[in-house]
Amino acid sequence: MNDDRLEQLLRDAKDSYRVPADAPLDAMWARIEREHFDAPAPMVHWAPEAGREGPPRRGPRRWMAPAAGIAATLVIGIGIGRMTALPVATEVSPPMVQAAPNAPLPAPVDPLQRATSEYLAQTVALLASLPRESAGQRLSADARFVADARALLGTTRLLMDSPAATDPRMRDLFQDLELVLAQVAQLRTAPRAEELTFIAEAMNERDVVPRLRTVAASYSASGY
Amino acid sequence: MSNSANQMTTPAIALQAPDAGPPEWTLITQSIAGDRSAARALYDRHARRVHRVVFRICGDEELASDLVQDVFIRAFGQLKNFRGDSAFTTWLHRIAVTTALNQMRKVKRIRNHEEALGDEDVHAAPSREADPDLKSRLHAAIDGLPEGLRLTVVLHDVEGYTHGEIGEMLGIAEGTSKARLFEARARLRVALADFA
Repeated sequence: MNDDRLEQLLRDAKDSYRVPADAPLDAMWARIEREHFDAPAPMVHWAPEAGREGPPRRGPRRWMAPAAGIAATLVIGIGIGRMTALPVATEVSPPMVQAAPNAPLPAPVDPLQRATSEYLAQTVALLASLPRESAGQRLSADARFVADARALLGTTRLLMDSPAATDPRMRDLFQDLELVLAQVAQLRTAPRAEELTFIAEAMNERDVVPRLRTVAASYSASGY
Repeated sequence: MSNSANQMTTPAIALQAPDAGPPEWTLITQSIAGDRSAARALYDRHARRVHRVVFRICGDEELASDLVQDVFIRAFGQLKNFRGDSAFTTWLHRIAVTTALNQMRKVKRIRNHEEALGDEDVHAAPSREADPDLKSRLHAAIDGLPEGLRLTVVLHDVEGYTHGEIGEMLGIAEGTSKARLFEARARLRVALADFA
């Protein structure tokens, strides 16, 4: 099929492709009016943790250099390898560790768990430092912040394919974080307020930050 | 409506087309101030097109109606953040596209969990034997495109948005929109090759 024919077909599609029936405008307006104008409290426009009390938020975490993402990727790769490829070796390890019976045994260190824990902590920090709108202040998202988001996005995708995602709760969280981080990774250096609002909405809709904090806390509590 | 028309006094406004109504900025300002009739006028002006775009994205009448309500509830909630950096229509439709996509992804995720199927199979094109009509084949081919490509075709070729507007709505570069459209059309040509 040549270009002209396809162009013509696509032009015709305006009148034929998924043409909706008349929208029930009045009925739809009733809910809009009720929820917007009759709502008891104003809508939260931004801040995933709006209303949270606590110390002032810090700026973007500059310690999260892209190298951290690379390091996390390596650790995850090692972890996945150990979890999936060498089950026999891990079974042999305990007797070797127990060669010194009087010494206190260190807590077992699972690279994947550790990497996941670090990833969760870094993601909490990154999302907490998203640029925020404030009166008279220009929004900014520096290049490193966006680079950190990209690194974490890459780690998220690795984790989605790792044993860490076998738990449905974790898998859902990773999927939601992938969506949010993909939006953050596309932020321009001077993002518009609405771009941040969309990200905030994506997080609020799925309760991303509370879920992320809960999981991060459980990892932290378990020693990772 | 031209800028000069926006600056006209009330008698001149009366000479405008009956459906022109007050300038958009007036309605926006009044809506922010809590004027329900202005908000309703803004809604009446845009709801049909938002509904059409959302329906073309999701393909479900009931869901589209729900999404349109969500879109306007959000839009009115965020209206005070609208600074006019882009056209109001673009701003509103960006909310619409984002809302629809988020919902579609949620639905797709649930479906994936339930059926453990690949996402590209959701709108798989029917065989030619089942549906020999070219128009239907085109629609099925559009539905079978990956989400990003389908959205670009729908917004550009079907809805008539420019690449700049699509970039605004989807949060992508204008060049990316052009590249997606090129890729999408190439796939459509392949899908419809036997109708040459």
